[in-house]
Amino acid sequence: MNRLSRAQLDLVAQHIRQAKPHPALQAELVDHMAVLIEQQMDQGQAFPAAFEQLVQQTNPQAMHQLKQRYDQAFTGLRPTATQLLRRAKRRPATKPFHYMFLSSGLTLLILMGGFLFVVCRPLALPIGVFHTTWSIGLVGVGGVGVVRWWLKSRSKPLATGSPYR
Amino acid sequence: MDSANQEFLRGTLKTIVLRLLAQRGRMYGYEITQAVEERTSSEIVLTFGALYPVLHKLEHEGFLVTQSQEVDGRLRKYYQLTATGSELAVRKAGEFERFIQLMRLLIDPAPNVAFGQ
Repeated sequence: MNRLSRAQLDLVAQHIRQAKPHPALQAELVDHMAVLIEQQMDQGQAFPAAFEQLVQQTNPQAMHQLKQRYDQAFTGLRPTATQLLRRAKRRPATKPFHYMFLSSGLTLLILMGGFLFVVCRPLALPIGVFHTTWSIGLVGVGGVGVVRWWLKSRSKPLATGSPYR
Repeated sequence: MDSANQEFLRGTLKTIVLRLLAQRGRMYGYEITQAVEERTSSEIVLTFGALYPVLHKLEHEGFLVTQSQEVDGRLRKYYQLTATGSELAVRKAGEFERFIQLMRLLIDPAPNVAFGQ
């Protein structure tokens, strides 16, 4: 059984590299073409003729078709279970609206409290005069927090396992 | 290989690959193309352009595992079914058999069934 020499293999590898296949396919294509040439040589062909056949098989059109099919195969794929788990272990999402809500709520409370304190003292008004307003405000903020917690606790857990099973 | 075979091959390539690996165990890419060519007396020719994207996709989906081995100075990638890949191979073969039965009903209907009814 014929085996390609180092120089012949390097020639095949160089040709495949020049055809610019997807990097994930390069090594496999070199092996594939090398076996093809070895089989041709076993059937009596000389290396140059077998190599020429390889060049014809890996013409730009064939390589473009390979690239297209490879891209099609991996376009729009949902992440695998491993990828989902890896994403879940990453730093938590910044949740911008969550933090905006918190900071806005706290700012409002501080401003309201500060304002009332500033207003009440010069006007000699007891702070308790605004207790209804305060109560409604606090109940409202608390209610929003309860509803958000309830909605969050009802949301589905992260899916595990391959979506293709 | 004529265009009709190519058309059908596109839809059955996954089934073919899974089935071959279920029967033969561990195979590398060229070996798979050779097996197809030998069994079909070269009526079906599997090109590298058609095969490798399917193999990589099946690996990505968890149905195949690979093992790279240096052979004669180059890296050879062997493919093997995982447990879920084996289940899929059986399922796909069954689905394909059923599909053939259905196609036969369409192409060769029973004598008392008239076309267009």
